[in-house]
Amino acid sequence: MNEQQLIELCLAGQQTAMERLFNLHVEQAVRLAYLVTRDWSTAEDAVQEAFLRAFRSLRSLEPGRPFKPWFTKIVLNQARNRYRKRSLFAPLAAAESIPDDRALPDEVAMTAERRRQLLNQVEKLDENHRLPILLKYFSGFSEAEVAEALRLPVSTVKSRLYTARQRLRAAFEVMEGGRRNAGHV
Amino acid sequence: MQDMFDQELSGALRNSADWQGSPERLWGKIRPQLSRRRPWWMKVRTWSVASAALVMLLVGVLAAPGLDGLSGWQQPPDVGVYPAPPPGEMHNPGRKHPLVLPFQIKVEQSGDLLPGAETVLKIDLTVREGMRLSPDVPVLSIVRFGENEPVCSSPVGGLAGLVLAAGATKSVNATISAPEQPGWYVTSLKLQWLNQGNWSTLTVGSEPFLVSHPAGCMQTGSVIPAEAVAKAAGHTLKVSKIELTAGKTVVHFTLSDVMVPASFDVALQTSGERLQGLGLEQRDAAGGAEAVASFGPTPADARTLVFTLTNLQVVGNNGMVGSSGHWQVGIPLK
Repeated sequence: MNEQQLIELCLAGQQTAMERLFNLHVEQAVRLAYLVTRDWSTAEDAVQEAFLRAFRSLRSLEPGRPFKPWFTKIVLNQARNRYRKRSLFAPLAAAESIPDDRALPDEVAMTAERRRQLLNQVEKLDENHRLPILLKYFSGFSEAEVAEALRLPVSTVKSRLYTARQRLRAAFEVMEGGRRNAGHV
Repeated sequence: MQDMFDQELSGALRNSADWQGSPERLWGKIRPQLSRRRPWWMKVRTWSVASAALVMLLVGVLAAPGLDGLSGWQQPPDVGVYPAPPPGEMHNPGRKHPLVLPFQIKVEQSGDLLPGAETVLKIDLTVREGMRLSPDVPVLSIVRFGENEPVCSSPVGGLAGLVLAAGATKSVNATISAPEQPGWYVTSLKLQWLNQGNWSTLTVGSEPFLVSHPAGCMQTGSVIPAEAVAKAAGHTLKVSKIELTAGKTVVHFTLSDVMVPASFDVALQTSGERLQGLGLEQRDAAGGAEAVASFGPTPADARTLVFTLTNLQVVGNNGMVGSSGHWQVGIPLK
């Protein structure tokens, strides 16, 4: 059964179809919400509400349009709202998912460290630049889809992505340069 | 093409968040909330899509003037018990494409329907696949729109035990007495058919039809309010026009700063009496949403209409907005 058929069944009120659609998208949705909120519990709350709202407003999804970009937009809004309400700031938990590099071979440890540093740099971006980066590089959206999700002109998205990449790349190169220099000492 | 840096960035983000939670547990929180009662107009849309996917039932009596603007309708109690086709045999239910339907049922009746008047409904049953009906006599029910209990039911002869070949059409007439009370009704016809060795129930509903009110007891005309505005929760509700016919009251309104209305409830009252909700059409517009809500007709002695919007849930410029705000405007009719 393809996605459109699944959506039709959801529109007809079939909960088994809703559960299938949920299972297809829940993990990616929670992970995106986590990247925005920096808190798993908040991310799950956001995704729970996003699914409820999506199922209740599924008729507003144009026939033939894919579910994921439309749903991601709802997830993003839920996550942003909750993130803005949180007074505590929690860092991106790269260390939670990447094993302790002291126990890893050098190459793997360096990859883990590079990723951790890169995530730190992503975290430092302001929301205007961080969200396009998350949508493009985590959710795999095209620039047009990012623009639609954030309700921005494509040109603005391109500009923000360019700026964000430049900042990240600069920080990344400094980081890499430092590591190489350290290696030559 | 992604360069090394892009790949590094994608890899970092995609490996950064490893959800340890349980999808089953999360679904367990969502599922109970899905069955909560929803606004009537949302049920309307669900029903209209479901019915379009499997059956087509047209009621000729609905050719009555003034019905063109109505597009969504609440289901009668049994409608929606459609037999789901096996997944492998499911026809494309795309909403914009011609449907390949197991059945087509057409009910035709012309002319106004007066209270208590006998009328004949013509039911055309066309099957595109071979079909066998149960020996039980099918029952046609009439239900007041928006309510659950049938006001009357009558058996429909000529269909029991029928075996139809693919493409064959069977036409039968059913004589009914229109309800005594004027207002909006729907018909539903329950059929038992043999589906892969088992009897399945197919209940099809008609679009709503109007049993006419006596002449002159309802207001007709058009009202353009000079100022019918309510502000709350950062949104402004404005009623721009009200159309009054013998069959319905149509309210045109806008809500500012709403990009994608997910759901809301609307109500129309006059002299403390709540008019029956019939349908809602909405669309996004620059800076807000435009919508047209249809209700039952306005009594001739009404002096004021009170339009209320509540339980707004929207995707706004700043994200999803939950239930908040209460908008109410009063519109003098004279």
